[in-house]
Amino acid sequence: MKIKLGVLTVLALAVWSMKHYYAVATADDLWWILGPTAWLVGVVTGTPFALAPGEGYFSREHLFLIEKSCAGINFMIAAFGMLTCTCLRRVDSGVSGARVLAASLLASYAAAVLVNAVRIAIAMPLAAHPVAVSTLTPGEVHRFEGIAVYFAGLVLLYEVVPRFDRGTERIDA
Amino acid sequence: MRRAGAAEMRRAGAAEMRRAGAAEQQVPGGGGPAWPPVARAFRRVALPLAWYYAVTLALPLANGAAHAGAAFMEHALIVLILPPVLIVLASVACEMARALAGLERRRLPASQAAPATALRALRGLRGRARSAPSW
Repeated sequence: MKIKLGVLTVLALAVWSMKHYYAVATADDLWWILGPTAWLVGVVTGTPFALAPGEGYFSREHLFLIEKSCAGINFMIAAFGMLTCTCLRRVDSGVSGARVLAASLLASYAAAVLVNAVRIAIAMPLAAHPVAVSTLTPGEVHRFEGIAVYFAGLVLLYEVVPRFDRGTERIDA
Repeated sequence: MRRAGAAEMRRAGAAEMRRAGAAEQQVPGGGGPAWPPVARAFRRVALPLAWYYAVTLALPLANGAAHAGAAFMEHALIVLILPPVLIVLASVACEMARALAGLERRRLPASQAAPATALRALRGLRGRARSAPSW
């Protein structure tokens, strides 16, 4: 119980620190997540993105900028917290606690890059050909799409992880 | 030899039934039949929804985002409303798909319902093995 409380405390501190880091970081500081995301979007859509110092990653072809607010850090934080809580029952020692935190962090990073790339790949054609919805502005459509993709990604991750978890349990046994 | 075989089959059948029961209970948020589908869907995605709200609403509010005024409030309202709407829509779509699949299954002639027939035959075999005398 004490170890689980310790893991939850570390999780709370990590979430708070990540959120603070995201608030003060520049687009250049976020290269570690913007870079892979821009690369993956480029692969999926066939559009090359070039680094624009201080701005993010820019596509001249589509006049589309992947900037700081597109980094998906909020998704990564939510996924990290959710995965740690999901795998908390596996924690029975300090080492297993550290392992769960590290695995959750890695998985949340990978999921953030993937889900964010999907979100941007959907947003690009929407920005090029705005959907004619009577009362919604293109900005609102972009926001709705972001919320829908991020939330769906989070639910999908929640459904997929226990399957992997069961798989590793079987291997452990 | 025969007795051992029948006992083994009985054990396997019982284990399978236990596994099926456990799987039913293990479905995340899978309540009993008293839970309507939409409520079951909300229970199932409670953890992702809680973390989504925590990161997009609770943490910014704790950091004083409410001082941003109407802009944050408008954003917060959309963030608050859209996920439950999506859950309800997805749940209704799933129920409709399930109902349509049920209708389709009922409409199919017996010759096309081969998998179901094979399953029934297997169940019959298992039932016979269970009721076989253990000599």
